[in-house]
Amino acid sequence: MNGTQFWSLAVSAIFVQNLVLIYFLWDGSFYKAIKKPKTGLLFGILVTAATTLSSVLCWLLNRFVLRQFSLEFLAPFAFVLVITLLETAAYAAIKAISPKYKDEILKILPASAFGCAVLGLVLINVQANTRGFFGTAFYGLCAGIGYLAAIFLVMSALERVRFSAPPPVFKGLPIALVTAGIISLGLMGFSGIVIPY
Amino acid sequence: MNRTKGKKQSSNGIKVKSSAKRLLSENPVFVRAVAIVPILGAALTLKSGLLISAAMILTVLFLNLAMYGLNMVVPKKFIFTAAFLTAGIVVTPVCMFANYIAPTIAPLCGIYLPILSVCALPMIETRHYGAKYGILRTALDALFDGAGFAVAAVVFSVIREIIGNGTLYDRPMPGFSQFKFSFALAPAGAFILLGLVCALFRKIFGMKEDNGEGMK
Repeated sequence: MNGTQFWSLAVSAIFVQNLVLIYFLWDGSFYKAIKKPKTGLLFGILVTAATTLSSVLCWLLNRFVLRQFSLEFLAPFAFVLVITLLETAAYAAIKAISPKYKDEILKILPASAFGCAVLGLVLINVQANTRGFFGTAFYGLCAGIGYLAAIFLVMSALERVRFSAPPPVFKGLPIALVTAGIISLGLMGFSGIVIPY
Repeated sequence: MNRTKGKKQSSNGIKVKSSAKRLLSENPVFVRAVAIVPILGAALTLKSGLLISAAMILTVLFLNLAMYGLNMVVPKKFIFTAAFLTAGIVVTPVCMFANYIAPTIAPLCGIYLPILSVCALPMIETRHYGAKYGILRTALDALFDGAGFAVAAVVFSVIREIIGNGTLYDRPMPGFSQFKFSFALAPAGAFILLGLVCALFRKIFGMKEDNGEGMK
């Protein structure tokens, strides 16, 4: 793969196929993360690490085990198992290394690893099946960056919306969804962009 | 003896009434704000809405029953990890079953069928673990949780299909088929439409504003 192909993958992962705003891969943890900037940043970084590593491992599993032995029907369980093992290893590593924000990281680690984004991205990669090993890893990294960007976009927008006093029936989830929809409308402008290589 | 029988019957009635709250006043999608992802992604038509509803009911039911047993053997420290693994084990045959009964519709649901495993996790009733709630009550609550999701999925998919395609169950709707609004089928349209449906649901049933506490 050349530089332009990686650039094309980056634009695709961050904007055209954004995990949150195009694929809807958000959940309760995302909603809680966008309430505090520090938690949001930490959560986004953990999701980026999870998406990158799980993309790589699940690509290998799919290529050399599932497709080799015609076990594609076991894909959901196999990928969940890989993600679980990854999270367990990360938990042990963080406890051993003991970084600065160890307690905060350990609190949100399960939510970031076991969310829709990681499993969803792995399934998207398997469906696409055209990127190769390095392409998949890079796509996973960029998809995580896109997730982080979406957290801050939605968080900033919701902060402004809260001050504008929406009608009572819209407070909370409804206005969050409408806001995300309007931001997603902007990203839809990127659809159809093809970077020639 | 008749008095005890009457008491037992009324206690069963209370259990069903309490579980039935999950259909409306404690609806998992519109009120508790969980399991939104498959509704946004897969509920494009009534057929796919019905398929993911059936898949979610099965997933939530089996997951809750499995966790009821696992909670007795797995230490509390690892229960979340065990739940995620169990969800993966439960959703695999559910996806295979969905592909078997609806081979043309299941591929259209794409990645959102396996994602049901993650979305069912917030619907695990941790309060059912222990001596207080029996397995029957756990199953009942899980069933009604799934049914609440089904209500949301069916309502949303009907609205989305009529507005976006002008059809219902692939049959053209008189009056709507000429005025298709394809934006409803796009991601942005899905977000906005679900936000509006959620607000309408809360207005009709007099729900209180949500402060996001329902999202785990």
